[in-house]
Amino acid sequence: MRKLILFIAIAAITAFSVAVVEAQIRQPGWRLPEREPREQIEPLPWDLQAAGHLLRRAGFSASPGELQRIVDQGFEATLDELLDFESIDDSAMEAQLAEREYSLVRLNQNERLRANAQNLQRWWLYRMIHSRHQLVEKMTLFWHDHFATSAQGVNFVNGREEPLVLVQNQTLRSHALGNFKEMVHAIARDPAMIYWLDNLTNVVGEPNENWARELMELFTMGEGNGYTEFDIQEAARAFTGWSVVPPRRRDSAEVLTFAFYPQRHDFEPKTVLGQTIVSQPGSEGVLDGEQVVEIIFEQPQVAEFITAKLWDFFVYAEPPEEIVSQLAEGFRDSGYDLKSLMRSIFEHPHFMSTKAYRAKIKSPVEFMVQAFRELEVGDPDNIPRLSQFLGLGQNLFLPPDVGGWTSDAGWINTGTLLARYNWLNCLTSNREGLDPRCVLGSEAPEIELPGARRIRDQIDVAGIIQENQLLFAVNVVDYFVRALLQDDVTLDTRYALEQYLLTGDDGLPAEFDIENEVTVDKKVRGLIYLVSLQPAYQLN
Amino acid sequence: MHHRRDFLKKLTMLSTALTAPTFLVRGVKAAKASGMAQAQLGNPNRILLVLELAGGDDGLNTLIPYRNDRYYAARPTLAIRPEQGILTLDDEFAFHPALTGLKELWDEGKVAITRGVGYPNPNRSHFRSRDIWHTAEPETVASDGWLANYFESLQESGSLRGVNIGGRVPRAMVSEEGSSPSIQSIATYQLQTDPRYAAQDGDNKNAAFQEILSQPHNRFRFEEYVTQTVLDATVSSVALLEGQESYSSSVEYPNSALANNLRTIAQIIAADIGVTVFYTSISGFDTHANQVVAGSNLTGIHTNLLGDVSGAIKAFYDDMVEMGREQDVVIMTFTEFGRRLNENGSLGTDHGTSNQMFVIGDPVNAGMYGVQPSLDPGSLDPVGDMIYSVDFRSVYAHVLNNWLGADSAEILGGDWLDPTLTFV
Repeated sequence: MRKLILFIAIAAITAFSVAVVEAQIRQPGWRLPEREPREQIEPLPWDLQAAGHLLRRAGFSASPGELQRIVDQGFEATLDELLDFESIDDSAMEAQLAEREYSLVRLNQNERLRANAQNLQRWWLYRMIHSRHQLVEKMTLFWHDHFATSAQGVNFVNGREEPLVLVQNQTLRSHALGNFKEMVHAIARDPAMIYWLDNLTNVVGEPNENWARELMELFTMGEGNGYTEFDIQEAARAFTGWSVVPPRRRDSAEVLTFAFYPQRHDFEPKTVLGQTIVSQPGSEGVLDGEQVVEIIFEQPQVAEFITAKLWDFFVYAEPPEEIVSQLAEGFRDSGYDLKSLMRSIFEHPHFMSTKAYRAKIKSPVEFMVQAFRELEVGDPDNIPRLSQFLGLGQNLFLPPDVGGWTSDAGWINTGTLLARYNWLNCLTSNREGLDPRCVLGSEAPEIELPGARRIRDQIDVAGIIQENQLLFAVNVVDYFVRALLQDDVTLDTRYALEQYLLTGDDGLPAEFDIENEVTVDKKVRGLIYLVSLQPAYQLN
Repeated sequence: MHHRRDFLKKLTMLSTALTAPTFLVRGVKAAKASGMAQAQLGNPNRILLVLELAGGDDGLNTLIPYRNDRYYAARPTLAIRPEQGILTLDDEFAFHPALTGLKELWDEGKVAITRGVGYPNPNRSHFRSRDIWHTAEPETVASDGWLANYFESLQESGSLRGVNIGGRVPRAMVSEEGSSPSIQSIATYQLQTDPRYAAQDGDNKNAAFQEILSQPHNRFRFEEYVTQTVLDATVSSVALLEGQESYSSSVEYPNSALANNLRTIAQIIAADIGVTVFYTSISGFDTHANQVVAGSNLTGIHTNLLGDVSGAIKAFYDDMVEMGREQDVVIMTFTEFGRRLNENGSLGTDHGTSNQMFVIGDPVNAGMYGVQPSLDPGSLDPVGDMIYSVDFRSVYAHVLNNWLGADSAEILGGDWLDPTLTFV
């Protein structure tokens, strides 16, 4: 050990000697990444980087220990775990979640929307971080973006305080890997959606087209993809009278449920996509809207549209047409079974290929949740303030509009990038007794949340050092480069990171003493921050 | 793109006395002091401020055709009657009563209104129509924004040619080559470091970070894009912080998000750091329901929104006057579509087609431009919407050529100049 310390002290002086030392003391199995960039389609060998790729896409990344388990058990077994989640017991997470008592309804009058949105966000973040059903949570995030509904326009309308977006979120989760047609039927009856797209006011004689338009444009067929303005107007008439049961009392805690009001329904025949719908009398008039959904799902473009969007989200942007049409055909043949479609996507040669590897930009939620999991932070209660979501550009339960969020390059500009970096600074520098001054986005004051825990040390730096026996600067660099980037850095970057640990406050070479609390507090936290500032860390 | 990387590389070689409050300040300060950044950070005297009214403003209740019976017949609940305090502009049109600030500017001859603006085959989807306005391309789906195309047409490009204030960067400012920054406030647009050790260790982090950035970042799709954005962010954040210090104003802005954004724009203008185009937006104009309060059509969402717009613009204009910059700034408003002539049954209006655009400022030739579309049933389209008379690209073209001195044909992919539009 004494000899190694000496080597490292020398290494601080010249780059050449660093290279010598690097070669001698690197852990076995360490190698420089040799991924060919972008367009080349080479299969990924099954290794740490491939496992990281799979878990970043089909879940929210993992701790180094969990990632190693994935490497050991192999691709197919991992895919089975992700897809056949029903056999995996997640009750511990559910119990933890219940114990945390996130107050999901009714705080005080003035702060209710913001507080509820924060609570909902923490509740969901906790699931994303801790659920063993990682693909279910990832798919739910996809569907939240697809059926984008904002608490801003839905909750607390007319004094009602039911967290309708929470109900919708659970609906999306229950269908996340189920049947897509059934999910659309469920969403058509979803109270949040009925509020959001104005179907409450879609009544006979005065149809409101909002839901009918987005049903075709955004949710199933794609903009301008085989329907006309006339189809929208007719479909809107078919959904007249689709509404909700009002609460019995103004402050009722009960959740609104779907209701069909025949007296508000237009019983005249409608023609949607060339098919005539003849109403049944009375409460059977509800079948008109259901028939619209059935007619839409007879259109081949539905499978194409959804398959392309899933591919874009899970694999890479702008999928080749032949891949989409091949996968879409299987999707249609399966009767819109999402689980089999997702299996086909993950088993497609392009998924585990250089063309997909780090070829997407992390969404803010992926970025945050993955950092939590990779650094084993575990508790989202303090760090992700509502204002920080805003600065990053993705506020869960509060999408900008029904079109949902952006993707890839759309996430990144100088403003959102600074917000991401400052969020990382908060995450790495937030510790007991220190105000991290995480000034991002709006400067709304934090709200004291019932049930929210006050854990100040976000990253258990000392615990990680001890558990992984990180004795020297090089070990610290290796550990965090692996945890956050699965070694996807250049050799020179490793030098720079190591030099950082081996530099004192005066800018001169200094010893890195892992026993020194100040050194650990200052330098290891600083190092984690610097590793996470890698441009590649923004890539999924 | 390469010159910016070279620029930052040069920065890392410079050094001055260390008084840096934030990460990476030192290099940029040195660059400015040495005059190296002059090409990057110029001092434009022709600034365009684009204000988007997102959601589809109800143009007929904004610029009220108060002598038109069709307007009153189609809107028994929503129509605003002359005796309700409309702000009369001429013998045909009046502003909504909430637009008092804008009316003052009109009276001073600072407002040009182009009526009947739209495009062929109007699309009533927010997203598609917004994209059409942002890309100036109604026929095919385009990805490059019209302002991004303008920035690329400039000889001396730079990371701060365009800035969006508040929210996401609009597609208008995004192209394959990158996007303009979006700034919530100057104070938050800074790269931070561990506050406990900023003084002792900030420089070490700075050095390591610069070394990391100087590595090749071209292994993965989007990696260069992200890296370039990091460089742009560090340079622009420091420049804006310095600029903010030179701003002071006695103008009281209203308390609204839009007014805050316009004040930030005023601060950046005061900083003289070379921003040519500012962009900001106010959303909420998608008034399908409860556009007005039942029984009181002068109160409600739309009135509040128009009040915000009018108050913020007036304060901003006054601030420009106080700064002596009123000759340098032109404001242009747009919205993705107008709303339907007929009101719906929800105290609201559904998506429509054409609308007016406002161009505001000292350099403006005030008055009415374009032809207001007829509201007669026979003159409406089959859905019941107004038929446009001026293509929005003609308004863009005029602003690009006559205000920004650009070649609009190159930027918009065709000659859209209309000789009847002489508003600036």
